[in-house]
Amino acid sequence: MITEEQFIRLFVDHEAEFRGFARSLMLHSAEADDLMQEASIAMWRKISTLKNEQVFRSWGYSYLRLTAMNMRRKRKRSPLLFSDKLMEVIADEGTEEAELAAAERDALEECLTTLPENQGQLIREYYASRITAAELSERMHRSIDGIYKALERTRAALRECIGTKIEQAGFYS
Amino acid sequence: MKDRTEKFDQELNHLLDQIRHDSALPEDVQKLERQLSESADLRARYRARMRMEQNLGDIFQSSEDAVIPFELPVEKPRGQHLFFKVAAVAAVIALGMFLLISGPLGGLGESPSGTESAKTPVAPTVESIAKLESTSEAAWGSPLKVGEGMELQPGVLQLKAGMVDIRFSSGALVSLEAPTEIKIVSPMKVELLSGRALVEVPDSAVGFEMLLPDGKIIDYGTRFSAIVNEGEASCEVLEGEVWLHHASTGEKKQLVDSQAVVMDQNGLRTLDFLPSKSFGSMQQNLPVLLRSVRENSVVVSNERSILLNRDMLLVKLEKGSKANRRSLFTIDLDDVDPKQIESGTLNLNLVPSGIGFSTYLPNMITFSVYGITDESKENWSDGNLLWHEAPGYVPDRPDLLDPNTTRLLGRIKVP
Repeated sequence: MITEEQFIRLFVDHEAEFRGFARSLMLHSAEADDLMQEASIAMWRKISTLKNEQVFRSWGYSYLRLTAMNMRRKRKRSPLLFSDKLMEVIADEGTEEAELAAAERDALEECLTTLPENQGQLIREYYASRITAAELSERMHRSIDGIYKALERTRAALRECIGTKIEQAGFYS
Repeated sequence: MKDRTEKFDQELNHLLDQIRHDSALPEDVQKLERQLSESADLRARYRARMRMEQNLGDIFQSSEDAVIPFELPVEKPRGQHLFFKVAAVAAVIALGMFLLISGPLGGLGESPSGTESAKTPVAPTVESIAKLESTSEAAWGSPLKVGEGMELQPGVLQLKAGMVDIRFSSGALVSLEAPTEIKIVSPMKVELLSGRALVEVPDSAVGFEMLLPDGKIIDYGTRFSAIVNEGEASCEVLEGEVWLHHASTGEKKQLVDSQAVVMDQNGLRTLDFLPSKSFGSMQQNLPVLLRSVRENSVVVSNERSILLNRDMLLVKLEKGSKANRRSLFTIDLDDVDPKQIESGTLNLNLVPSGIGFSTYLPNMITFSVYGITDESKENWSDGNLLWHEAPGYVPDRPDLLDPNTTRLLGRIKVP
C-alpha cells in the first residue's frame, strides 16, 4: 500500500497525461476538467487499493475510464459525448498509449521552443486567451480563414516535431 | 489518404473551435463519431490531436486551473526570504522607506498633462511563461534586450554576469548566478544547461521540474539549489523535499533538508558535503538579497486606477500636478542580526513605464529616499492606500515629508 504523500507525488507526475487521456474521452475541455476532478477524488478515496507505485498509471487510467463511463450515463443528452461503445474503444486504445502520451507532452514543450516567432505568438494567443479563431482574427486584424490556416500549419509543425522526437526516443520502432 | 486525413484534421480543428464557443452542431459530433468508429487510424489521429489540445491549454493557461482536490499533507514551513544572493540590499535602512522624485518635471516618463493611462502596454495579450523579476549587474549572452520586468517566452537565456530572479507564471522562482545558461520550457519546467540556480517552489507550483543533462529534479514545494558543470549536475535541498529522476537508469531518489547528490551519466550518488558551501560568492562574500515584503505607491489625486500601476513603483514631483506620486516599500529584517550587517546597498532599476515621453524628462532626475522613524506609521496598507494615509503626509505639500515621522536617508541623481 502507498501513503498519501506517495500518491500525491505520483498524481502530480502523471497529471498531464491523465488530462490528455481525459480530453480524448470528452470533447469539451470543461467536461474533461469535470472528469479529472471526479476521477481524482475517486482515486484519492481509494488509495488503500493501490498496491504499489508501479501500477499507478494503469490504476489511474482505469479510474478515469470508469468515471468517464459513469459521466456518460449521467449525461446521456449531452450532444458532445460519444457513445458508450466508441468511448470504450478510445479508452482501451488510449490506455495502451500511456507511455507515448507522457513522451508527447515532454516533446511538445520542446517543440514549442522551436516554432518561428509568429507561429509561437499565434498558438500562445489562441490557447492562453481561450478565445475562438474568429475572436483571434478580430484581435489580430486578420481573416478568420487566415487564422484557421495559420493555426493548422502551426499544429502540423508541432505534430511533425513531436513525431520526430518521440521516434528518436524509441517509440514506433 | 493524405487528403482524407487533412480533411479530418481540418474538420476536427473547426469542431474544437466551435466547442470553445459553445456553438458546435450535434451533427458535426455525430459525423466525428462515425469517422472514429470506422477507422483506427483516425482514432489514433484524434487521440493525439486531443492530447495536444489539452497539453497546449495546460501549458499556456494558468496553473491555478489545476484540478487537484487535495493538498500536500506535509506542512512546509517557510523561512524568511533571506536566502541567496544579491545586490539590492536595503539592509541598513530600518523598516520603512520612501521614494520621492524631484525635478522640474519628474516622474518616470510622466507627460506634462499627467492624464495618460498608467497601464503598462503589455505585449499583445500573450500570456508569458515567466518574468524577469529582478536583476543585479546582469549581462546577457544573447542578442535579446533583456531587462527587468520583461516577460519571457520559451527559449534559451545566457546570463554572462550578475544575478537574476526569474518568476515563472506558476509561481516558481528561479534565481541564477552567472555564468549560467538555462532554457525556459514552460510555466512548470526549466532546463539548467550550465551554471548555478536556486529554485523556490510555492504550493502553486508543486511539481515544478528542472531538467538536467542526465535527468530531472521534481520539486514538491521547497527550496533547492542545482549546479551543472561540464555535464555533471549536483542538487542540494535547502529546505523541504525533492525527487530526482535519472533518465537512462530510471533511478529515483528522494532528497530532504541538507542532503545533496551528484547526477552524472552513470546515475545518482550521495554527496557527503554540501555544494552550497561552494556557492561562497553567493552566500558569504556577496551581499544578501532581502526581498521587499510590501510595496505600494500613492498618488496625490488618489486616482489610483489611472495613475498608478501595481507592477511598478511610480514616483513624480511636479508643482501643482495631480499625478504627483510617492512609492513605499518595507523590507523585513526581523531575522537579521544588525551586528552582522557590514553595509547595505539600495539598487533602483529604472524600467520603461510606457507612460509619457522621455523627452520631457529633465536632464537630471533626483530620487530622494526617506526612512520612517515613527514605527506607528509603518503599518500602511499595501492595497488601496490614499495619499493622506501614507507616512510623512503633510497637508497641501506634496513636496514635503513630515520631519517628525520621516528622515531623509539620501539622494540618488540619475542623469
